[in-house]
Amino acid sequence: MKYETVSLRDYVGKTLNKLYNERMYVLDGDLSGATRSAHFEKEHPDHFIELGISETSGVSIATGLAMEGQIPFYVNFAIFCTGSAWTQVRMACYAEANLKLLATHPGMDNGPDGASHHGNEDIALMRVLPNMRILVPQSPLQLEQAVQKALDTDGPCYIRVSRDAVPVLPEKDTPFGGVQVTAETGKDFAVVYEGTALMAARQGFDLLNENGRRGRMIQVQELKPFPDEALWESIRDVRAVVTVENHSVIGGLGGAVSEMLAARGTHPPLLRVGVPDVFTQSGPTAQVKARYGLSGEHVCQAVLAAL
Amino acid sequence: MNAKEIQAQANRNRRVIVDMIHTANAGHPGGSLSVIDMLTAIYMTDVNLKESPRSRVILSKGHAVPAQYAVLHQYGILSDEEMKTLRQLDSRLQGHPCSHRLPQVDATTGLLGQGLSLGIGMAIAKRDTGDRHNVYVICGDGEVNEGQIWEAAAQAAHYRLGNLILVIDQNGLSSSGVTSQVMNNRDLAEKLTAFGWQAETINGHDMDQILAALGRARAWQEGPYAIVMNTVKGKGVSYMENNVAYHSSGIAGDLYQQAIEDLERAEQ
Repeated sequence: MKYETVSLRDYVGKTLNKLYNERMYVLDGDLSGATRSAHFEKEHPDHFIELGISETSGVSIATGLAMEGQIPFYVNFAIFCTGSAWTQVRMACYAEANLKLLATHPGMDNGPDGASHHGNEDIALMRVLPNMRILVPQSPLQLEQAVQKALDTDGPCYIRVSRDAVPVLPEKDTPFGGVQVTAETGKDFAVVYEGTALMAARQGFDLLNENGRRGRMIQVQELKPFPDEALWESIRDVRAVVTVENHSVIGGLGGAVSEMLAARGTHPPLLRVGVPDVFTQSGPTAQVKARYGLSGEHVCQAVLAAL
Repeated sequence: MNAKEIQAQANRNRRVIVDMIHTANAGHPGGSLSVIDMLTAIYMTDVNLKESPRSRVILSKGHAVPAQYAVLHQYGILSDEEMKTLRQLDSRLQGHPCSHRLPQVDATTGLLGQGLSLGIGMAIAKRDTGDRHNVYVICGDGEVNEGQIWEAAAQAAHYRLGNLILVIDQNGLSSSGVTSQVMNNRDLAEKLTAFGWQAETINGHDMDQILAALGRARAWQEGPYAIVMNTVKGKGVSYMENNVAYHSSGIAGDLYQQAIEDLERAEQ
């Protein structure tokens, strides 16, 4: 299957430029080329702060800017934003600081760099923090909506942005947040996914349809606060639910859906597609994802086994 | 405001610190008593709590927060009654500073090593918005073992933040023992100078020296300024001085009486 694709990170700097206001700052940890925050640096050099390779101090400096009324976007790889500086992010959440984290290179999006650089734990690390919001767009329009939502929210936000290519779906002009049904052919199954796993979710959905199964694709746009009710209403009538995430199956989207379903008593069976409880390795990105549990084939097989 | 008046207020604040920790039967008296002379001086010379914007004071060594509460009590932000709620449920007086409960503490701290970076963010915001006030960050000498401090030290100098003033309360004792034996910092003023700071070392219990150093720090606009101050942990209470047991401890019974007598004698 061939899809028209897009890499959202290419829109990071451009989107921040488009929504710029004079309280905004972008902070970098020597990766502005890779995260594309360089586009912001070019247009707003006075509001771009290069901090060198120092994630802990970088996040705390962003927090200090927020405490003086500014709106800082700390832009870095997912593992650095959330893992390298976790206690700094935690203190910003505790302080209810208006800190924005914008992460590229989530999950296995940079396959060749290997396990050290794969961000398979970031959702879990952010989801456990009180006051945090997690926004996961899947298209340039949704990225803009997510950044706008972060700007409109007084408090810490984490925006997870794909580096790997994701398919371009027809855009819906709906407000960003909660869940969105992005495709629907019937109610045998529901593919519930986060935006950076869109490729595997879409391929799995198409394979299932080729196999004569009919279902729904549901994007969870906000992983925190988790849209329990909206998601439940959109999956309660199907025969099997599969979560698809560019992340460990522990503590992320699959974990959140498990927690939601466990409180409902009778519910459809849940399959979790994503990285099992192992460290990954280097390889071409598509091959790494296929090896470590994230592909359309994994989605299709999981659902077929459950139906 | 002269040195004698500020020192007298600092001594009164010492009593407040001891009373708080006695009532709570928990807290960090040693590091609160070593920093209180400088903290009182900073507020009395450069912080108008009724103003906005104003100079900021980040207590990065957040465990010394009884000292900051004592100063806020001095200015009437905290009442006598509220001072008795330290470390109790629903109190604004958390065991470490919590700015969303009590905004006047300026920063939520407690996890050591993060405050200097917070100060850089505030200093950049003030510089860019034309706010001429200063940002003070107070660290402990054990705290500066933390790597984040040295990331921040490079960054503050790189951006030549003339409105940022770092105070290191070098009382020579951290939680488990003598700082130089736990992890030797060597000469902190020299290290900061090598990072591009203007830095000096003073006696942190000599109010004339404190005021003079603060004056030099505020006047220095070329970049960040560090005051490394040699202090005595537990300063003012005879049995606490240089005694690591009072890093974290309540103050009970006869020892409380002894502390009050020591401090009253100093006030006379």
